[in-house]
Amino acid sequence: MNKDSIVSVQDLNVNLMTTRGVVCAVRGVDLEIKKGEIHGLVGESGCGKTMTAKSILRLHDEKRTLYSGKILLKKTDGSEVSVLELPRKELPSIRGEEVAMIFQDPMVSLNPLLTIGDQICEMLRTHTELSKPEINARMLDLLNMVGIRPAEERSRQYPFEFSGGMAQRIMIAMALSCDPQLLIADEATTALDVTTQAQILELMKDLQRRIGMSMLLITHNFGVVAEICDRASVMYAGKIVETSSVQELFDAPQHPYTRALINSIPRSGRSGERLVTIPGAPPSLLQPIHGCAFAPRCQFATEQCRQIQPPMTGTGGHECACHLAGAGKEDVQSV
Amino acid sequence: MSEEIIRVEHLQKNFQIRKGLFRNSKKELKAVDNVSLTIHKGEIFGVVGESGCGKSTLARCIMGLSPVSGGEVYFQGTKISSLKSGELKPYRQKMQMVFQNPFSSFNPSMSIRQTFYEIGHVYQMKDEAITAQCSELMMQVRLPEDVLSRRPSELSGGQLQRLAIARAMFLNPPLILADEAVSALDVSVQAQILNLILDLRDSLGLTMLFISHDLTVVEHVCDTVLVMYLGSVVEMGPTDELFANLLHPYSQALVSAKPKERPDQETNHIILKGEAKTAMDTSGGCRFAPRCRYFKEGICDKITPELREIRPGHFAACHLFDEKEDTI
Amino acid sequence: MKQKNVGRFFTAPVIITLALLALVILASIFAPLVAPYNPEALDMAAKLQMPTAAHLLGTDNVGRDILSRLIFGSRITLLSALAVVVISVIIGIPLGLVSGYYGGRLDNLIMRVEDVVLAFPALLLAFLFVASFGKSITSAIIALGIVYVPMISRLTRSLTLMERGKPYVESARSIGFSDRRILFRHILPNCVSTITTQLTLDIGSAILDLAALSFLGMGVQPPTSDWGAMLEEGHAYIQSDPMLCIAPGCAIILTVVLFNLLSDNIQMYLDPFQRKLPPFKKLKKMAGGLVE
Repeated sequence: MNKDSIVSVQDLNVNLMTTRGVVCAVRGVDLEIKKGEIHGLVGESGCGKTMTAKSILRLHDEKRTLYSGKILLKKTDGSEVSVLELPRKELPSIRGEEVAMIFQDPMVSLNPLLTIGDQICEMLRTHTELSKPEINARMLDLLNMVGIRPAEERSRQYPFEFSGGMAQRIMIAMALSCDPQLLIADEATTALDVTTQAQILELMKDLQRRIGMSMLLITHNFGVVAEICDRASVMYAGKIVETSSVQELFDAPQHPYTRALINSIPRSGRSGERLVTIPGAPPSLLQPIHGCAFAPRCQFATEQCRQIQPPMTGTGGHECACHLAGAGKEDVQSV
Repeated sequence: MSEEIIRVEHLQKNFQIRKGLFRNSKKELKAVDNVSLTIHKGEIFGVVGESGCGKSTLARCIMGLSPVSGGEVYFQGTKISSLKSGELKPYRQKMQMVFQNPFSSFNPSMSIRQTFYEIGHVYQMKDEAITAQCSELMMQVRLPEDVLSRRPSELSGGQLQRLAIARAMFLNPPLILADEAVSALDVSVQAQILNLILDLRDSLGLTMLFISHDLTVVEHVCDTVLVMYLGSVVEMGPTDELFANLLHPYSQALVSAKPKERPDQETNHIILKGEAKTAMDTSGGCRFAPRCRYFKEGICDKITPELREIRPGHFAACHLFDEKEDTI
Repeated sequence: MKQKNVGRFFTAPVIITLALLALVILASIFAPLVAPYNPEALDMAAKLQMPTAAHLLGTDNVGRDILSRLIFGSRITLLSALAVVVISVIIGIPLGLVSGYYGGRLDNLIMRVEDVVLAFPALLLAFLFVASFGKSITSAIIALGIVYVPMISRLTRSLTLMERGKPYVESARSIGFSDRRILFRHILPNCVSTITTQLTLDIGSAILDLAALSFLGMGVQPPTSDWGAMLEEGHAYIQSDPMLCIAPGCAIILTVVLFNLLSDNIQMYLDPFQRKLPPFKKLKKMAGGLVE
C-alpha cells in the first residue's frame, strides 16, 4: 500500500446472487485513495461504483455476496487492516470510526422519530468514550461546522422540519462525528436542487480545506467531478477504465468511453446541437465478458480489444485500460 | 406566426393547507401564482425551476388534471379551464404526457404490443391500422420492432423512455408534455433522448412542453424558456436570448450554481443565502427577495414585481428594471 | 434480452406442501373410490373400536368408520371453505378497487361499513344469520363470506392505492380509458399475486371457522357431517374414546397448516429479498464461470 494512501483496493471482485442469477458487479478493481484527496468515482448506472464503495465498509448481504481481492485500510493509529478478511464483530470499529458513508436520500437516512441532536449524540455514544456533556458539546460543534445554526435550537428539531439540503448537512455532521479518515458520499447531491447542490459541494470543499478530510465521491455527474474532485476514476461494466487527476481527465481523456461520455453531456451555449451519443448499451453482467467490455460500442475496437482484457497502463498518475491508449489516435475528439 | 396550441392567462392555483392543533387555521399555498404563457405549433417550450416552484402543478393545470383557482387555459382556442371533467375528456386525449420514471410508465403485466393494441382498440382502430402505426412509431423513435414483444421489465430505461414517447405520439396529439422526462436517465441515454426530441421537432413539427430542473438540458432542447420560482414566473424568453442575457437575479444564481463543466473553468458561484421557503409564507413583495443579493428594502419586500418585456421577446419580473430602460 | 429466474418457486418445502394438499383434495374428490366404507353405514356391533387393520382410524359411537367419515367430510369442509373465499372475493375485490381508486366519500362509506362488519366476531354474525335464515351450511357460508370481505377489500384497496399513483395508470387515464378498464385490466392484474397469498390463508381460516360453526350446530345439519360436526359428535367421548375427536381435529390442523405454509411460500417467493436463491456454495461455482 502506498505511503500516502488511506484506502487501497486491490483486484476487488464482487459477485452478487440475485433473482436473475449471479451478477459480476465488480470485476477486478484497483483503486487508491490518498490522504486528504477528494476522489471521484464516476460512471453510469450499473457500472459498479456503488458496489465498490460499499465493499470498503462491507455493507453487503454476506449470504449473497462473494468477494475476492483485498481492501486495505490504514487506520488512524497507523495500523493496516484488510477489510474483507476482518471478522464480522470487528466491522463496527471500522464503520463510522474509520470510514463513514452518506447516501443519496437524506430524508430516508434519518430516523423520523428522534431529534437530530439525539441522532448525532447516539452516534457519539456508540463509538466514543466521551461523557454526556462532552458529547453534547461535540454535537453542537458539528452542527456549527456544517452550517446548521442556531445549533442549540435546531438540534432539538425533528428531521421533517428540515429541507433536503439541510438534512444532507446533518448526515455529513453525523458522518464526521467520530473523526473518520474517509467520507464516502454515494450520489449525495443527486437528489438535491442545483442551488442546494452548490451549497453542499462548497461545504465539502471547505471541510477538505479545514480538516483535511479525504473523500470518495460517487457520482454520475461530471460537473460534480470538475467542481470539487482532485482525482477521478471512471468505471464501466464493473471495471475502472481510467484514473487520473481531474484536470488531465478533462484535458486529455484517454479512454474512448471517457471521451464519449464527456462529449454526450449537454453544454451551455450549444442550443439545438445534436449530442454525440454512444451506440448500443452496456453489457449484461450476468454473462461472462470476453475482452474489453466497451469494445462492442467502441469505434476504435480491434480484434485484440475483443479478445483480450486490456490492462491498466499509464504513467504519471494517469492510467487507462485500453489497448490503444497512447498509440496516437488521430481523430481524438477534444472536450 | 404559427398556430397557438396552448395559451395560459394569469393562471392561479391555490391549495388550502390546514394547520394548528385542530387543523382550524387555514393558510393558502399559492402553488401557481399569475402565470401566463403561450405555446405555438412546432415549439418546444421549456419550464425550468427547482423543487417546489410549481412547474408540475402548472402542467397538471394545463392538462386539466387539476381544477384551476383562477385564470384561463386555452387549448387551440377553446377555453378548457372552465370545462367540467366530462367535457374535458376529449381534450385530455390531445395532450399526452411522458413521465419521469420510465420503469413505472408501463403496465408491468402487459407486453408493449398489448399496451399499444389496447389504445388502438379503445379508439376503434382496425388491427392493420394499429400494426402500421406501431411500425411507423418504432421507426421514428429508432427502436427495433422486436421490443414490441417484450415486457417492460426486460427493457432498459432508455428504451422505455423512447417507447413512452412513441406511446404519447400514438394518437397524434397536438401537444406532448414531458415532465422531467430525462432526469432519471444516464447521461449517454439522456443524450439519445434529447437528440430524438430535436429530430421529432424537425421532422414532425412536434409541439412539446418540456419541464425540467436541469438548465443545460433545457437550454439544449427548448426554443423558449420560462423560469419559475415558488409559483411565479421570474423570467421568460427565447432560449438563446435568455441565456445570453440573464436578467433576473434568480436565473443568474440558478445558472451560476451549476457545477463547472471543466475543472479549470472560472466560476463565480452565486451561493444563495438561506433556503427557499415554501410558497406559503408570501405576503406581498417579490418571493425571491429574502435571498436576493440586490434586495432593496421597502420595495422588494412590499411590492410584487410585474412581468415586463425588458428586451425584445424577453420578459422578467424584477424591480431592478423599474426605472431603467436598458438591461443590467 | 430475456432474463431467466434462478429463484425457484417449487422448492422442496413447496413441493411437499403441494403434494400433501393434492392428496387431501384428490381424496375428497374421489371419496367414493378411496373411502373403505360407506360413512353412513351403522354397525353397532363394531362401535367404539380402536384403530385396527379393518378400521384404520377406528369406529365411532354408532359403528361408522371414522376414516371414511373423514374422507367424505372433507368434501363439505373444503367446498364450503372455497365457497366462503369465493364470496369474499367477488364482493371484496371490487369494493377494494373502487374505494382505493376513487377515494373520498365513497371510500369513507365503504370503509366504515366494513368497520362495522369487522367489529362482529365471525361466529356472532353467523348466529344472526342463522337466527334470521335458519340453521344450514348455506347460512354459515354466506355469513362467513361476508365477514371475510373486509380483509380482502382492504388488501385490494392498499394495493390499488399503490398502483394508482404510478405513471402507467395516469397515462391510461389521459389516453381516455374507461375507469372500469383501468381497474380491471390494469390495476387488478398487478395485484393478483399478493391477493393470492391472502386467499390461501383465508381458506385455512375458513376451514377453522366453519368447523367451529358446525361444532356449535350452526353449520352443516345431521345426518351430513363435516369435520366440525364430527368433533361435536365425538366430544362426549373425549375421555373414553379420544379417536373420535383426534381424527377430525388432526385433519383440520393438518389442512390449515398446509394452506398456511403454501401462503407463506407464495409470499416469500413474491418478495425478491426473501425468495429462496441457490445456496452460497453454489454461488461460488456459478461465479467461477463468469470471471476471466
